[in-house]
Amino acid sequence: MNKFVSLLTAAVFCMVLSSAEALQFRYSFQPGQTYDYQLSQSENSSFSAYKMSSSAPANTINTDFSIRSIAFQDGAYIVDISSNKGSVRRYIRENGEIKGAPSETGLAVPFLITFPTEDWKVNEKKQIRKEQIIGNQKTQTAWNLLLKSFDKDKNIAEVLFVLTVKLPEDRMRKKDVSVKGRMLFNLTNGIIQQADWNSSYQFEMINREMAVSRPLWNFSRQTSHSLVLKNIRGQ
Amino acid sequence: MEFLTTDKPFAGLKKHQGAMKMKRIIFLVICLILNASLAHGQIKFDITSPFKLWLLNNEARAMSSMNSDIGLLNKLTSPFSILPGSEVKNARAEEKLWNTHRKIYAVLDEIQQIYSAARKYGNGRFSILFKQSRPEIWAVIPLQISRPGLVSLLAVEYRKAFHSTLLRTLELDAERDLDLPARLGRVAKKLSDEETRLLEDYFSSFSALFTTDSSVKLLRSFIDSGAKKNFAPGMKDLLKPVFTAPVFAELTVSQATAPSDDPLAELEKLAAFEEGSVTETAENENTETPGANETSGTALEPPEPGTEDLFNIWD
Repeated sequence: MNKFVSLLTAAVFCMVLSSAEALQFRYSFQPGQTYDYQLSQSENSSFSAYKMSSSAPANTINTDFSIRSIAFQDGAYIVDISSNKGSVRRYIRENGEIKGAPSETGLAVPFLITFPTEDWKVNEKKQIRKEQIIGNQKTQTAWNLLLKSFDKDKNIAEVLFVLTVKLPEDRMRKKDVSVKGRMLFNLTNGIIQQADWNSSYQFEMINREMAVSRPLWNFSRQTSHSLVLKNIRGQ
Repeated sequence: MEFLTTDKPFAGLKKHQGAMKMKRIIFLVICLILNASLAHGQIKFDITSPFKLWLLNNEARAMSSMNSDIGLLNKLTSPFSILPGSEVKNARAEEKLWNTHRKIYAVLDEIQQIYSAARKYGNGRFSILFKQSRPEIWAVIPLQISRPGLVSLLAVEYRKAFHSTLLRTLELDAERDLDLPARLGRVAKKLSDEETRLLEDYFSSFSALFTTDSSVKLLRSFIDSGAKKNFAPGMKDLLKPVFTAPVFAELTVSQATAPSDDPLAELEKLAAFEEGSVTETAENENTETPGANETSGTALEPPEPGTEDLFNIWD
């Protein structure tokens, strides 16, 4: 009897744990609904050459755009993304991957964060890899994702993401790139509630002849992005 | 029909062909020597190209690296498929650096021009050579034979035109290049203090990297001390010579065409005719009418001290 009770208790405990932590991330655009977002982008750059240095003034742009969900077809949501620059239609899969429209070819797609299809537990890490071509060289890039926390009341999950990439270097050119951010995903509505991410790029130019090394120039560039869901219309 | 059976007319033809061939060979040799000397002259006076090419190549590497990296970064910083296209125009602080480099290249080109002009003409020997040979006089002697008096009327203007054409051919400007040290000083001031310090740092790095290359050391010393010294005293004589009207009235056809073993004989005759007018030293144009300065005297004597003699061949 005692053995049976302890086994039962353990099973219930495991079920509770697994059901509390295991989450599934999927986009869930409801046809007919419109999601209003605001995107803030800011960039600044600077350089230094010996004692001379200068920086360009920070360039900040706020963009309001809307995502109008039209339909769900063949495993992809058909959405129109509209801003003051115009509209673009996209076919987005549930995991965030872009699917081309029927007979559409030659898509130039950025390296996207796509959600894992399997259950994702808190404090669990996931990685998405892709090979990028830079000039005539190939380099591996990866998004490293961490499910940091989960708010049960609001049903919002916090995900941290970090990019891993190694830019081509040689003895004259040293580079460092980092992209880091945080995303709040609303599991009820199946959309991104809020996201903030920053990128940093450093490039050092050095001259080397025989055993003599002389630094020449340092360039740096920082960007910051902020994405916020403002409203859902058509509910 | 005799000529058909003998090769005498062909012998003459062969001799003519041989002479033509010889002339072509000589002409080719002269061209090659001139070309070699010109090429040697260009390399010899070049003090800016090694540094300029070093900076240009580094610039090209940096530009191409950054452009490809930023293109990749734009792809990596849009991680969500719901985002519209990026509207941020890439802020380019490095444009200030490239603009500074363009100014540096322009300044170096001008410094190279000044240095080359000083090396070629600054000692005055080229000017003396021209004075001695007086091509503008020899060139019009056939015209003087056919139209006596005409050259005398146009002599001064013709000489000025010849001189201005000569300067244009040599890529010199009478006003701009008269004082090369001052011009060098003006060129150096085209860069701000910050840009000048940057150029100095570049020079130091280049010298440290390429210890066997002495062009930058020469360039630095030329920029630093050139404006303070009169390094091209012979330029004034070349750029602003004194124009006096030659007197051709006394020349006759027999005198103009008489062969002479002494290359200076013709010059001595002309010098004798112009003895009375050689004391003109002003920079203004001389508009004397031909025939007004008839002089006598055939002995070739050094001019009195203080007088400017166009035919000064004793220095």
